[in-house]
Amino acid sequence: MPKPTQGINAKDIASLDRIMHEPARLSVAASLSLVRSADFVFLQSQTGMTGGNLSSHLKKLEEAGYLSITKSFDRGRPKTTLALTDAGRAAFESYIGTISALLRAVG
Amino acid sequence: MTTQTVLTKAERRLFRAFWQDGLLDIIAGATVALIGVGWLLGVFVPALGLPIVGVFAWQGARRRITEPRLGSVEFSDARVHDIRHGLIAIVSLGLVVGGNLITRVWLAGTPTPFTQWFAPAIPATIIAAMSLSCAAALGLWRFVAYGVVFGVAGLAVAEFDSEPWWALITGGAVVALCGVDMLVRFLRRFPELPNEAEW
Repeated sequence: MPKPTQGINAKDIASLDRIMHEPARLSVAASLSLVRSADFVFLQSQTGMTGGNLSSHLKKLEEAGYLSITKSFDRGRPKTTLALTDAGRAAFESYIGTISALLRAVG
Repeated sequence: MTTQTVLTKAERRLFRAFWQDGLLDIIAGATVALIGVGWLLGVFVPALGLPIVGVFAWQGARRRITEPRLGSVEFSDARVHDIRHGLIAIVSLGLVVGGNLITRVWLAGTPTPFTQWFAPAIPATIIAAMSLSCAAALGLWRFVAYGVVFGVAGLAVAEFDSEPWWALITGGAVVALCGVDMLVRFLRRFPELPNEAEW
């Protein structure tokens, strides 16, 4: 028997943030939401993505204004420091809130 | 479970993961054991400077071993605040327990049979108190076990009327060996990731 779906608001689904909705970017946002900032290696270790793949998702998050990227050198090695912006944190929390509400509605 | 609870638990797990490399255990254990060796060789006071060397060694080792595998993270203000207060609590508890025991045993005039019996256990008891404090402050519960190890080692030297440094060397070696085991597992689990300049 199919589960009742009366509690689901289709508008909520349609309004999901598409930048955040992509699993790879969501895992980046989730990892960064736990800390103030982190480096590129941290995100690689947390998400299991390759450098190139991760880099392309970071660029999209940055373009959306969700991520701040600071490049520097640490003992002669390039170091990229990443942090969610206030807008990024708000978008992540809003996305999680919407998904949680949808899951509750499905039961 | 609310989203906030899930994220808080995830943050706690992440924080703990950064202490699973065994380096703290190796360096803390080796430092305590070397203080014991220094005491054995009659250079106890210079050996007390080893914890400072240990801090620098730990930072260097993390940079070379942990960061290329797990990356580096700046934790939240709340977490940094907790760590800072935790470290103050560890040192304070060591000083309070140490000061209290030393005052009772050595400066209380005529020693009682108990204080005479317990005196060799004092250094290990101080380390045990600091281990328990570290466990509570950083949420690293294996340090409770280390506290028990030092407590038992202290009681053993008291019971057998041995020299205090035995407890430091034995307890420190146990902690360092546990750290080596953790480090081996950490290195197997987390391969070094390519430097970001390589892609």
